[in-house]
Amino acid sequence: MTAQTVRPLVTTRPTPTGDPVLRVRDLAVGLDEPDAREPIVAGVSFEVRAGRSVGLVGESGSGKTLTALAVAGLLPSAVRVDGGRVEVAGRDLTGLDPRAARAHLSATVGVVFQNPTASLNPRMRIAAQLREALPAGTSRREARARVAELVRAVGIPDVHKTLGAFPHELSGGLNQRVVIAMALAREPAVLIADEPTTALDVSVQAQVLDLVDELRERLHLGVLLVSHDIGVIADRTDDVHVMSAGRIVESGPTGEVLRDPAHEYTRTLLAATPSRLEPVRVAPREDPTPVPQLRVEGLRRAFTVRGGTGRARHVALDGVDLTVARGQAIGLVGESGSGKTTLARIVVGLERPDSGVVSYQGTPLTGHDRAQRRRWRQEVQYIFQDPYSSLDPRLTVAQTLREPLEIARRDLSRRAVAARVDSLLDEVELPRSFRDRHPAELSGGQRQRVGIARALATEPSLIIADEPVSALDLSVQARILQLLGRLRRERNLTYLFISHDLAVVRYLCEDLVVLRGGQIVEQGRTAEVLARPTSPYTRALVEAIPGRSHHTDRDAP
Amino acid sequence: MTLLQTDDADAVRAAEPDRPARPRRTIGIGGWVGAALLAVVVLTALAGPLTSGDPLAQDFEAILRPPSAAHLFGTDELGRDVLVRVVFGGRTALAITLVSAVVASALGLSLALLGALYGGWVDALAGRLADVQLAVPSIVLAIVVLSFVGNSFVPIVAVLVLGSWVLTFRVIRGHARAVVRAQYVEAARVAGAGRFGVARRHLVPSVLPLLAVAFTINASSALLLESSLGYLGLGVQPPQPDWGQMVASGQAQIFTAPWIALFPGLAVVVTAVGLQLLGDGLAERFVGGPAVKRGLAQ
Amino acid sequence: MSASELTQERAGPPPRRPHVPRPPVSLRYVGGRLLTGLIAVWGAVTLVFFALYATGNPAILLVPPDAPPDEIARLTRLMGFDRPLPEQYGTFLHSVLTGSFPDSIRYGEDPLPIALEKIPASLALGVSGLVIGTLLGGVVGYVSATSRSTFLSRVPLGVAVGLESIPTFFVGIVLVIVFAVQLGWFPVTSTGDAASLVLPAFTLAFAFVPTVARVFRTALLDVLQAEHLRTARAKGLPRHTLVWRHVVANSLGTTLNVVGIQAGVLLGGAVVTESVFGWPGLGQLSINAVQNRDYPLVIVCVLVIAVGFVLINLVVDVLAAIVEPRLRS
Repeated sequence: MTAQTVRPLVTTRPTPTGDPVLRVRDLAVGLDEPDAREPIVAGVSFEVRAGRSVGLVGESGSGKTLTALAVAGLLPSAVRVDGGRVEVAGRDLTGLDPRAARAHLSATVGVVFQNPTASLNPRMRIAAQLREALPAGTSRREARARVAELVRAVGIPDVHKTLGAFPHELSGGLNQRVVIAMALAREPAVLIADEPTTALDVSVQAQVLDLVDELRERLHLGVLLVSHDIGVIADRTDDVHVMSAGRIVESGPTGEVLRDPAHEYTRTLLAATPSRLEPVRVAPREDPTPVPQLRVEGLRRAFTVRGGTGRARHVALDGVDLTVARGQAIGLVGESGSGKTTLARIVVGLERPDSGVVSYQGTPLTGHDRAQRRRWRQEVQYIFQDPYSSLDPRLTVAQTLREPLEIARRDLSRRAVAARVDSLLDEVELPRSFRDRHPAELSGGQRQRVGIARALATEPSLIIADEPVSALDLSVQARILQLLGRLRRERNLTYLFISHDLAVVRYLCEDLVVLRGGQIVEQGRTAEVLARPTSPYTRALVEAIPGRSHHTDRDAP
Repeated sequence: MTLLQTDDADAVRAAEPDRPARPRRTIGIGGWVGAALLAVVVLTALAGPLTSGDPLAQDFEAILRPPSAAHLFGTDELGRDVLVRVVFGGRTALAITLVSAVVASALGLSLALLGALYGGWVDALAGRLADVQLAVPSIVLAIVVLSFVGNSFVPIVAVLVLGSWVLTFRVIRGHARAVVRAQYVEAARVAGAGRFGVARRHLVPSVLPLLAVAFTINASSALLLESSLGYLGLGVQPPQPDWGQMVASGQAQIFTAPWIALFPGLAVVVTAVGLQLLGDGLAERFVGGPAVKRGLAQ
Repeated sequence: MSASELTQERAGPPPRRPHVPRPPVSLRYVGGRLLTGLIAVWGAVTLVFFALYATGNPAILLVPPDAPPDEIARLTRLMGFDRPLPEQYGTFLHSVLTGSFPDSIRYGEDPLPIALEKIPASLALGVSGLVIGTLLGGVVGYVSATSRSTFLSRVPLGVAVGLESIPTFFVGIVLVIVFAVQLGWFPVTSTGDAASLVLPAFTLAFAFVPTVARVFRTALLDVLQAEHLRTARAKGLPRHTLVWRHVVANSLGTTLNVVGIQAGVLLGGAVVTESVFGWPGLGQLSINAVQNRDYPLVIVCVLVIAVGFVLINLVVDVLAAIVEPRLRS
């Protein structure tokens, strides 16, 4: 524990660059099998100095999480360290027996994981879990005081209530603070944060990252921040290592790497960042009919939710009015629970409102006759968020694409349907040979393309897309966004595009609607709203977007 | 420490991008063994009357004979051939089991599908029915129904059906609910598919393999319950032979002639093992591992 | 170590009670479960009533076969079997609530005390079977979930699961043949003492083992995959703390829950076990009553079993809620 005692108690001056607290040399990680193939991670070297923050960025499968887990000694059982050396707080772990290594690591490394609520034991109260995290031999009295301190140190307002609660009774943001408190309990020298904010809402993300920054400076921690999010890396790290296919392809001060990437992969990754994409702008066509394509008036919807204290009414939509003109692309933005998905589901008829009217081309849905209803069904289509559960695992791509045609276009012959399926595949840039593949044989991006093709099958004019790219890797996300932009231009589609990501909305939509607590708090042209948000909530959202700051000021040694 | 290491599934999966995701297409050795056992049992029961003698024929010359070439399974206290009685007892036990399992599976399947498709109060009612069923232990049901109403074929089947339909119901309902809520079903609804279309395209095809698994679970549960009722004297009454009942009457001779109780009991075990192996095999083929089936069976 | 940086940063008095004390299980939860149980008992009573009613004139069933006609008429009037159905139902409910049943045909006295005095014997068998079965099943489940050896992780579980294909009465008979008849270690039929409890207890236990082993294994495997276990490992906790506090304790809730759902099957196992060994408990009493056509006694036995079953379920539910806080809401 000597490493901690030399640290200054409180640091008010700018953080000096300290000694390296974590050194990794030539780390290799592979499957724990006798005839293991290629290592999953190889030749990874980096170091983290006290008080500095180092980023590890890459797409899923790049090996960044495995690297972090290997350093923390928390690799899953199927994977093992194949070689290299890891030195934490001045002690080389190579050759130590596992027990001693574990003891040293748990005393010097704190770890924060991606999914805060799942990272806590659901069966134990927060106080008990924190007490457990304290160094062995802490007295009861001392432990009680320390636990309360830790909780206060991570900025949890209601200490007593939080300590007596179970994880499922707290929000994700609160739980992540608890996890951070737990990581700090043994006064570590290094804090490893593996996608610490991916599961959280944007505004909570910023708070949690601010907390990590504050603690890093105050406690002089070395921070290893693992993220897929270039924005987060740009804002929060001093140095960055870009990983791809298990190797570090580029390293350097974060500002320099992002400003002037040397490696091809870094360049493509940066180019795929939504905030760097050139927004799609479609010249407004003259709309011959003055009737809005979609009109929503006074929409209300509440759900009964069962919580810890019995049943409660959750108001998802609280009087929403919205008009969508033909050819418009509207981004619907809000955090989880803001009602954006409920609104979209009501518009396509997957959910019914408690009150309020949805009109399609001037006629309320409830007043549609058979023919109008048929037309609405064909012209309004939905793209789902999760490319994994939105395709029936038993059906081939062709069967999935045929389904809407068989329902809506009974007039088509078999051959005509087959031809349509081929042209749909062309349209979403998938090879025609994918016809006979099952979803299990497709990647996430390919599945999402099939989902888009299915939505296009009935030649719709209005597409509602619910977070269609949020489950995808950055580069795939960019290609799907470009596809959506192209389709809109070519087919004069109207989009109602739901996202939590303002950068994605900025790329695709000229207009923006911000929802909060089931109400519209702001709407207008996207560029204007982002530049001059009027409601405090929107301003907070805009400020919370990662990657806005370019922190050249922090690059100085 | 190995036991405490978590499986970071994503990380490992990322390392093996080409892992085949589809379940294997065979019921495995166990499944075939189970099917073979069942085939032997069923064929013997079917062929019984064609070949051997009368299960009620008494032979006071040959009382309590141990197994021999003349009487492979020995004879009982009335000189009846145990093998013949086991074969004929199988006809009773298997007929009751089969009818009960078919009715119970059909009941469980239809309630589960209706609940999943219509949701709301239909689903709530079906779920409530299952809860009530679980709250009344089948032994209580059996005592009440069979002592007051009598122990003929229909009441026995009714007790077995009531005692086991919940198995199929729970297995199918869990799956059907997940399917109906899946985004691909919502996509079909957005494309204009009605309840019937959803059931035909997505729900029924995905439920059918599970039904095969659920049926074997149901049948083995019905068989065990049927033989227990027979043993307790609540089931098929003498002189009609039945496995459970034969074990009970053989128990009196357990010191002198244990074979009278052993062979009918073994017949139950062989049939139940066959059903279980086949069920596991089917589960492995269609659902992805017996553990999953186990999870479903609860 | 005691003077941490954090204290100096945000000084404040340490809180006296970091815990807001709460009862482990809310009265509301217990009340809800109790209500469900009462409904189940009511269901059993109603089932008995309609089964009686379905036989035509229930009075004939409730008196000895040689009873004179005026005795039948007296009972018919007493129980109101000549009244309209709803009234009959009311009378029946009333007599159940007040515990007044027609005399047992076999014993010629009030059947309720006869049934109640069998409870200790049934309880002794049930508890010992439960304890043995839970321990065996727990060990098998634990070994199969955690052992690295293929043999240990498969064979005990395979044996346990195979037990499921053997009806309880046959398990009992095989145990009798081997341990009582061949080896002569234990008596063949019960005398009610400890030695004669061994075979019945193991027979009943074997009815529990497959369920407990399988469910506990599944629950353990789930917890072993859980992310919170990684957090616990990161804390550097000693191995036994990890195993007991984070793995085993977290698996108990699910296990109890499923065992509770299976309780009905296990109850049947208990009745069969008593029958096999002639154990002087409620199960054997009720089966004998059925065979003697002692219908008043059958009714009382069924109702006592139903109430006992509800109480067992209540205990299981409360235990499950104590070990698994998420079940409480």
